[in-house]
Amino acid sequence: MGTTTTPNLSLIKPDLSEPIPNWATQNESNCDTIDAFFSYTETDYSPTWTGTGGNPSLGSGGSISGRWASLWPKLIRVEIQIDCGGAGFDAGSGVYELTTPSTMNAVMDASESAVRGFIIGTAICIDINSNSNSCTMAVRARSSTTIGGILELGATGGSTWGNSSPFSWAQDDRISLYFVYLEA
Amino acid sequence: MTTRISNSGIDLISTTKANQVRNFVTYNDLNLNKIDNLIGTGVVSSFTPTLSSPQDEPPSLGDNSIIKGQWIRMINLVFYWGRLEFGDANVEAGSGSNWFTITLPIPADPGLRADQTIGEGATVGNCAMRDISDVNNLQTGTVQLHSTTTVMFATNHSNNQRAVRHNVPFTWNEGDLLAWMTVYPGVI
Repeated sequence: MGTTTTPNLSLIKPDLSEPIPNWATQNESNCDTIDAFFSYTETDYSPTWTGTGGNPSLGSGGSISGRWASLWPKLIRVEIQIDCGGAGFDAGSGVYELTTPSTMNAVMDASESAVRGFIIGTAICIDINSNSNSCTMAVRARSSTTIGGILELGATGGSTWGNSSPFSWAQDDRISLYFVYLEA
Repeated sequence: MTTRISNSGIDLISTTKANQVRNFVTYNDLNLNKIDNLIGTGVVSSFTPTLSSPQDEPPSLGDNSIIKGQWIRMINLVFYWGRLEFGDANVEAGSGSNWFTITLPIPADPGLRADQTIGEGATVGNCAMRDISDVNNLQTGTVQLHSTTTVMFATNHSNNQRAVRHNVPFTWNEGDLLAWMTVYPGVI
């Protein structure tokens, strides 16, 4: 036996019987493996926006953009921006969801029932016609591949993110959010 | 002769020319194991938090309750998710004016500002709460460092920023829910 490997990263460990000239190669391989964990690469993806009673559709000029990066093994950070767009926007109906770039680990306790899944991020919802309607939102794990939102509406009580919450989504409204989860 | 590199927090062992090959192999092996454990685990750890209310009658989650957490460490940066669900009997919300606290899986770096006054400690995450008896009673809030080992919760209740406690943002009872996420520098 000349080498063994570590259990998680498969780093190469020479033993006394390993020829010394091989060490440089093995060390280079180890360094590259370790270095890769400290790199940070953002990757674009296209989240799917759905409503449990009917899917919303963007209006003219609208957009949904997502970006994600692996912060660490199994640790994923995601940001999403939605611009509802102008003419032709349809808010759909029901509770809103957005898809994640990968499957969440079961330990995130994803649940359709509000607050029974982990809170994983935060968002701001912008009503373009009413600053007073705009508010922040907690992002929650809703299923292994989707996220949802929880809103607090002061004394009147809160709700889950949907076509009429925190306001009736309409043309040119926007939402920006980020979340962090453990990957399967 | 060996020297230790401790600034990284990994406590790596460096070697000198005076070392024999045998020692080099041994130390290299140890170093790679440490790196493998610290980075490569992607280890997701379970943690059972403790709900308390310092100096007051503490809350009791009751029968068949749930309280759980998961955390992962990125060198010294801790990502911690948790949630609790009060049980279906023998629930006690507690009493007094002090707030609920939840324990952390890894102590926070003492350089972070921890304080028992709302708004005075470091904000380290966000949270949501649900009164299961009222479909409209969902609340969100922030998570504040209460001590190096505990966090407390702040919520915008009736347009007043308040610390979550036995009767804030509602009187806690059977089935009520609290979930949180925190990110903070921890002690290695």
